[in-house]
Amino acid sequence: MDRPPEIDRELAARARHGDLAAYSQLVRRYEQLAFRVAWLVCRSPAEAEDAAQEGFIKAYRALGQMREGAEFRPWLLQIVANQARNRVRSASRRARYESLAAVDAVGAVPSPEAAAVAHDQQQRLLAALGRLPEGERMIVACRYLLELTESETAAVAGVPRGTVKSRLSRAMGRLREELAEVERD
Amino acid sequence: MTEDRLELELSNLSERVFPESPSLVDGVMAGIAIAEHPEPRRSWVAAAAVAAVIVAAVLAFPASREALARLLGIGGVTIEHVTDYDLPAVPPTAEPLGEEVELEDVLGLVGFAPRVPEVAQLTNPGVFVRTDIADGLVSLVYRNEGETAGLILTQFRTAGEVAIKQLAGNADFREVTIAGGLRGFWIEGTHPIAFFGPDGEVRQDSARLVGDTLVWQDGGLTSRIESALPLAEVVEIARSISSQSG
Repeated sequence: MDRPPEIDRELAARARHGDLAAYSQLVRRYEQLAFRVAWLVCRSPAEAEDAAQEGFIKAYRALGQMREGAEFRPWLLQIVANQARNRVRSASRRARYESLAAVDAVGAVPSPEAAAVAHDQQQRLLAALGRLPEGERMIVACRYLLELTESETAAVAGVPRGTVKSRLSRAMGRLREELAEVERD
Repeated sequence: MTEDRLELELSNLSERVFPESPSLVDGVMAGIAIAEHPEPRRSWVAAAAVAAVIVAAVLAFPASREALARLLGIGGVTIEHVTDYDLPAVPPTAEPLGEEVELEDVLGLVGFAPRVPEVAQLTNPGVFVRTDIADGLVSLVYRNEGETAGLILTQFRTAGEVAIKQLAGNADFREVTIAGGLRGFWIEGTHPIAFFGPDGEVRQDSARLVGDTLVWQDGGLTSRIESALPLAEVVEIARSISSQSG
């Protein structure tokens, strides 16, 4: 999505002064991204929807505390990710979460036709992604599946930028290795 | 596989990995409206009064604010002006209205007998009661032929202060005369509504979108009618109810 930060800044400034129409525009701009970030943490569509919704509401109420000149998107995503993590902390809910390795069953289930022609490489990559340690998988998903910036990824994952770099490097190495092994076999 | 190729392959996974994204905007905006309701004052909680949050589409002007306060005999009313806030039209539904009961059982459940409209077209209402809101919330649901709710009359007693918050949108909002000195507010357009219990907490499951609504207070009873009927007919129904008072 085209997101000149100045548009976000203007909408956020208007929302800070009670302009709900401006805030609803921000919600529309980032509802999909917020939901996906929450889903990466929760792995449950229903929980992710609730977490994203709560995140938007919490962000609205905290607009006045946003640092001057700060970008709205990473700030929002951090709040959403925190909401999602709070939900995950409930042990009873954890049992319902599904692994990223089983994303086909949770997410956009391909039609029989689409499944039949699914690219082998994608299947292997998906499986390899599912085998990554949780911390690395989250970083890879944020950076490449959601195309977040490095600092946004750090905010969502709740780790310093240096950790994002090191985990990303390790994860990409693992993925390349795993795929190379498959190709050799 | 090269780094660039791997990055590209990962980006291509995106559409397969994530579930379909729901629309969040209506839920978020309704949630904000509810969350913005001010904390009830101690005296209000002690009085176990109901706070009805009518999140409506209104135009804010001081006259309305004062008039609404005067109408309900309360302070703490907030009216805000917001434009371009689109909400989907949702037909009235009985789901958040509580348990279905017999009309003759209502008095025993909530301590007051609901006033029933004396209008020929309105017969055999479904009667629903929620006892976790105010001293009890009674709704009479008149269904049309499609078995959907054609008109809902909701009544509850207000023992103390009542806090109402109205948020702006595309709907119209004005004060109307029901009978004699009895006045009410007519909210024309779809808007969300939620109720507070005597503990001051929002009853989340009472939040819903409603259509055109007339709300008024008569004695200690607050009444609201939501329907697709024109204002004149709704006022006629309200008048038949108010004539039963005192």
